[in-house]
Amino acid sequence: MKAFWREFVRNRSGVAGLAVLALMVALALLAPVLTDRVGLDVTRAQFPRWQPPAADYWLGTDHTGRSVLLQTWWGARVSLTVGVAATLLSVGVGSVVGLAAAHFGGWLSGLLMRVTDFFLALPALVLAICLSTVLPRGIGTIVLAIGATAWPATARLVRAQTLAVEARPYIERAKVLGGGHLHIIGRHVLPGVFPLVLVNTTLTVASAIIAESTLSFLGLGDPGLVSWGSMLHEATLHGAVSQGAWWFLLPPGLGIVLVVLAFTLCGRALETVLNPRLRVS
Amino acid sequence: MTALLELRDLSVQYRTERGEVPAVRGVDLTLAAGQTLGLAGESGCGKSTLAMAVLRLLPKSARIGGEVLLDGEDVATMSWGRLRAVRWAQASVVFQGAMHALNPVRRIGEQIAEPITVHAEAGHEPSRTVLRRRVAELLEQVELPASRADAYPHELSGGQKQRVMIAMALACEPRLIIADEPTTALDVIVQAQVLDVLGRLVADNGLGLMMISHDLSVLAATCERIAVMYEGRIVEQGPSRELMGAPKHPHSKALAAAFPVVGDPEFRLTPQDAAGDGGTLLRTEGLRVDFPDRAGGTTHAVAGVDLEVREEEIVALVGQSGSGKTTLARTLLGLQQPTGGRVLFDGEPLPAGGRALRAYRRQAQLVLQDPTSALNPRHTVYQAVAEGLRIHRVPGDERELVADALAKAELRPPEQFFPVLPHELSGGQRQRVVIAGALALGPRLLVADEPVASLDASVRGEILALLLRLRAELGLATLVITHDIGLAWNIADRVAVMYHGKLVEVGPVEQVLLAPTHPYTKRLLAAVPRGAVTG
Repeated sequence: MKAFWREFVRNRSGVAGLAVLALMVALALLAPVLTDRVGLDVTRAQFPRWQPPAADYWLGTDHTGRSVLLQTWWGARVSLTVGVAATLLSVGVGSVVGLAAAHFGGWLSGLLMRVTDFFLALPALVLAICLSTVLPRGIGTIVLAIGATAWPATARLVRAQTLAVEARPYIERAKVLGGGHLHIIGRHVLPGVFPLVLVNTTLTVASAIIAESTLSFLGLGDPGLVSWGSMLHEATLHGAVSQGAWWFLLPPGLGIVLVVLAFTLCGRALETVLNPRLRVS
Repeated sequence: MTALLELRDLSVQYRTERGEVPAVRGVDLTLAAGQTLGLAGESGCGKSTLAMAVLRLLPKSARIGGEVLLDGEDVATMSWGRLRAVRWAQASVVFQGAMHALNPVRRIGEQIAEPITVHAEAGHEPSRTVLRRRVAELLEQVELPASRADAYPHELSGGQKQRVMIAMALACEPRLIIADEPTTALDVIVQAQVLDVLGRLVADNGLGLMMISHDLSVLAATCERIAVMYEGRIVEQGPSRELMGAPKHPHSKALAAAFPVVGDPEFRLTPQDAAGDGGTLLRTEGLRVDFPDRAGGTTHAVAGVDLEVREEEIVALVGQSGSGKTTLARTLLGLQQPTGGRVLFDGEPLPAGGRALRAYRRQAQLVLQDPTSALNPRHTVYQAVAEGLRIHRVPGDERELVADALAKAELRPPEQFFPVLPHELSGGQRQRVVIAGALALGPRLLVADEPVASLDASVRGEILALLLRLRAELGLATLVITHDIGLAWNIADRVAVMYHGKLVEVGPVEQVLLAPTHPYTKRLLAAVPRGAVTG
């Protein structure tokens, strides 16, 4: 673990990404301590509408007169939670299905891949809407809806990579040495597939955050919570562009970019640490 | 008369991240029309770079010094258009690995005709019928029926593809042909046929041939002269017969020793009667393995094999690719379930799975052909060797056991190799790590699938010596699977010849290889390139 950390620290962009992420997570977690939630309430808006950044409201105000800074701050909580949770769910399910299908082969592989194809063919948005109507509205439902539609891509990817790794002669050697399924998957296949899963994860976080905004836009999110997606939606809906209110659009947009970038940098740094061949060259 | 090809003080450097790496350092060579020159050397000696430099086919990162004269004209000063005209029309290349050099989605006739159309002058493109006739002619020259022009590459065998490559090289009637390892991936019998075709074409048409190979015996069979390359320099040059018979440079000697003359006692590394007269260790009884093939029928990969390996014995299983020898090896190790018959180890039938099979794994171990891919690139030497120990939870101090196994495989001092990753090792060292990983479990039988086929000539001898020493010191029985009869002559006590899934001849090495009785064994032996036979 120590060696792992030493290796990671050597990668500057990775450290930068990790720092940004840590800062964002810390701010998101401390939001209730440092700010007052009341400012998010439309009925208790304290400021004039459509104001550019000023001392009282550093990032200006929206169409109801609420502080954009406060919304962005609290929005990070929802966006990060949904993005990470949905990604973990979809990458987890996808990896298990892909690994199992490739490693065991036979009828199990056929069955798993047909199920994957079924989900791949389903229009993701329609499935998500159906899930949200059946299940109670809230963050949990959004996570489930995004996770359920995003995993097939990961499953296909992991399966392909697993097949490639399993064709290597060192898998044969491990079998002859007496290694069982657990040993082969744990010692050889997973480390070989992991970098790909990591990169895939960082990309999935990005699309999950965007998917969350789409669902919020469609009114399927929790109306009581502010997220970056719902902020962008509100901004376009109430004509922030025609008002020239760049301060309403930029913060949530930049927030998404920053999170995605930070995840990507961390993912790449992790990849170099985990793949010794990248480290040397 | 100017020489067809003249290299004057040719040097090539590659620019890499670690600075300039010299590949060729000051090579002088001449080749006149009608002459044949063999260029021998190990991987990385610069022989392929040299060949590519002739037609300026090197990547941009290469810096070329000296002169390459094609028919007296300097290749470096040629204009792009002139170079294009010269490529193929004056000099052409038979590339390494015919399997990948052909376009899989185009008929071979079109591919052979391609250089002809490309080189035709504008407005004078040959008509389809002319092209067809020319392709048929070329196919005939390489001894393929003209009807094969409509075939796709996957419908041809390896030897046929290689001949198509030769036909392609001949398409524009070049005066110089450069053949880069033209037979490396081929079986001995097919290799003999391809070399035969190539040699005849060169002699009939008075072409110049520069053939590149790591295999001295192949070069000796086709070329008048051989030049041995080592670390970018020509270290020895001379008529094939002399060079094969009495190599002077130590490196030439190593190369020559790697391609043993069957029948020459000097190449017999295993001492007489070294095999103990122990009991039978491994026996198969009527072993059969069938695979369903695409047409819905069955392929009999192993069709009733009775093989016996005694304790402390080295048995060579010899056969062409596709003869079923690798399937047989996989079945012996329990990686493949037999369709019929059975495998007996120490008198007990081979367990089909579970705990018993895992226990068997401690008794029989595998050494794979290519050590580079047999080792997980992410695992250090220590992890690779300790892998088996951890799986079987072998009691004892792990570090000590790993060090012991590495020392047995002659990687000394073992501690120095612990943190090393496979890509930092040489090919021979990697193979030793694979062997050490097998030895760590203290097996009684080693199954080695082409253990030296992917290794360089100088390393080959060391690994063979190691296998022999392991037998002498640890009493290890070894089943060596190979297409290389010279290898069998080198180390085996007994030889089993496999053909179409059956063992056609089994017996002591001297008996089978010197006085073969089965026609297939005779064919196999006749196909081995003799070079300059001394005995």
